[in-house]
Amino acid sequence: MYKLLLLTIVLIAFIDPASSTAVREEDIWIFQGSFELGTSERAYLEGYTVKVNDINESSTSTATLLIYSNSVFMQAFEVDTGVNNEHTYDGELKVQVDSIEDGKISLNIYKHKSELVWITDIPKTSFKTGDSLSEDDYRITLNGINEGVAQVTVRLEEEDYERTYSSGDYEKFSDDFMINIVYINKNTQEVFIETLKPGAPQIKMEIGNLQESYEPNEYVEYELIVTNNGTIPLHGIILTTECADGDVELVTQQHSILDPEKKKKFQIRVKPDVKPTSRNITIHNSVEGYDYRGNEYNNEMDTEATVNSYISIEKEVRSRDKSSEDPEFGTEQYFQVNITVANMAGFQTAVTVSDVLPSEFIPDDIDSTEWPMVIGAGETKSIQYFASSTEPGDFTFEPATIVWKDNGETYKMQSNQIEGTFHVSGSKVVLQKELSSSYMLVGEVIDISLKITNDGDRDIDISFRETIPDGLSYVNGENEWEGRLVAGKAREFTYTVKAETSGEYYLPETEVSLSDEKGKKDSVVSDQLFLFIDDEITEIEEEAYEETYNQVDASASYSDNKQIADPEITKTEAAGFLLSSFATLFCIIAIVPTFAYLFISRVYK
Amino acid sequence: MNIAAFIGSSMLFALFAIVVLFVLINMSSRLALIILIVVPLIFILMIPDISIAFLSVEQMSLANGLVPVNNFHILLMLWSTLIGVILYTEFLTWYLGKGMKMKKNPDGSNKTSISAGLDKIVYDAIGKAKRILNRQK
Repeated sequence: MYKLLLLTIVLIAFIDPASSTAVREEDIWIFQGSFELGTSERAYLEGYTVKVNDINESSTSTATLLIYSNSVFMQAFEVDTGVNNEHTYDGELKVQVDSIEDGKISLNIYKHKSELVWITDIPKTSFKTGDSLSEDDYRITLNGINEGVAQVTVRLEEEDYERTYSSGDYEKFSDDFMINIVYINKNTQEVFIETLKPGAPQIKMEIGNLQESYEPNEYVEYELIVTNNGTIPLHGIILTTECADGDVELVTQQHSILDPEKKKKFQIRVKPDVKPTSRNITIHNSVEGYDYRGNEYNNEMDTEATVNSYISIEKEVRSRDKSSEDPEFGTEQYFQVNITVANMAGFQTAVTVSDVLPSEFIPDDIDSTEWPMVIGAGETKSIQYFASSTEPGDFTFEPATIVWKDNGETYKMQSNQIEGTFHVSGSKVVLQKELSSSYMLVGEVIDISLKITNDGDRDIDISFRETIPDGLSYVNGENEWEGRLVAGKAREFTYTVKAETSGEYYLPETEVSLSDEKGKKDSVVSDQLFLFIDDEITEIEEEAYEETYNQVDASASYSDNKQIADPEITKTEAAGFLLSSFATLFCIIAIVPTFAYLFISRVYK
Repeated sequence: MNIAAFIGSSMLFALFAIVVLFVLINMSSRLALIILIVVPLIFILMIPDISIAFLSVEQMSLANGLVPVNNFHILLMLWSTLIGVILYTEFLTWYLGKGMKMKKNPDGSNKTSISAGLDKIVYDAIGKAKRILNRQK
């Protein structure tokens, strides 16, 4: 029992918060905020409410204020802007009148409070006689200890102060310096001294809950978190919010006190201006506050928020399976495209929505994928259509586009990207028919080939039978087939025909019948091929043909404006040809003068 | 038509014609005639490939391609023209020279006109024909 009592005493002695905090706190009037109140309006404070009962704006403006403590009426008093502009209630609440005009009274309200002011400058330090300790602007020297009393010299601002302190004494030398004698140990002749200086608040600002983007018809709303990172409380906190691109709902917000390391969340709401394009708006936040002495502290921060265009467009693509009753052969999926456009402005807008499908797609029951429309203020419209692919494969969809005009300028916006690839299952058969030659002589043979490719991802049963026209006779090869063609595979069939009679022939189209796994039927048809069968030619005809061919070839060379350097001609032959040409020309031209010469010679003989 | 080939060929032919005419006027018509035949022949014999190729170049194609005109054709036309010029020059020179000689005839005999001579020949021919016919009878 004795031990327990002793332990309790020791604990009380060491863990007495009052003794450690009393030194650091001061009783001061703390600014609670500025209020502009009309008749019957109230200012809510911590534990108190101040209500304006009436305002009398005569030669000397007066107002009657009521004070409530925890919603219980306590006192009524009259204030004016003159001598009686300050009223203190119960030593706890002080009301200062700033002005009374236009039916409003401006008040500054203070509350009496014992508050942390001092913080440790030099922590508890052991001094023995003769020890001293210096800081920037003061010096402490322990002169001696006599009967539990420490004799200390404090040098402050070039002036010495001789003091005697007992254990637990403290002295405030100025608004910026205080000494605290924590403990004097008589046995060891030690004195534990600490010094204190006034603390300071520090404002830190953070943004919370800021969204990636905001719609123009909603508030840009986020949290501004103000933290006091200083060492003493911050008072009279006023947050001012400004925005050039919108209307701030609460330009100023107040908070009475923010203790060190405490946070206050302010809700910021800004109504952005309505614009046709998405853009960033800048919201300027500034916070100011005061310490216990009325020194101002402030901080500011710009917040950027993205506000979307007043026109929005969204596109959604859904793949759906065709019903088993659908008789159509080919693909097994179709697509439902939903486009949603919204006008969040306060006026109607004429827009044109357009969508581009992959080239293999055909929209169902619509002529074009472009829709002009008028969207009323705040209205949302949806476009829904279906599209099918003409062939199987993997496809991607492009975003839809919306175009509109605002103040004479044209604006264009695309919807969200359509993520992913859409697969269309189905069958696709490609048929190619070829001839080894389109010219042949009677009696010759040629090959006719058919290549059937299954480009889809489903197996297909195929069958065909070739028709051989008159003038040709079947020799050998595969001219008919029936069987299954596996997805992704190709098969080639070749057969040989012999030319029987000459003429021009069109080989008939080949029709390949298709049947997919679900029993749906279709067919694919090849092109018509032209074939010329010539008569057999004799050797003489062959020579004539050669000559004709050479002539044609020579003239072709002439027309090409090229040299015809016949490799057969020699220089002697060429010279002889020139010589003979010259002689011939000479003889022809000389005929007339020769006869004239002979005639004249005979006449004048 | 290749413009460059046409211009090059034309310049060569023009140069050839100028040389021949210069020789004809200042030197000798016979020498001009020899140059006219010898120069192409020399080229043919010395550089047969290039010469034949040159002569084979088609310069134009007339009548919708029916009449192709090669450098060889142009050479023939040039030859025709220049041979004509040379021969007629020679003939006229001879004829004029003969007239001058007759004017200077020292025996003083009458000058016989060409038309009178022509009449005489015709009458002689008719007389011969009559005699031959009479003998046959």
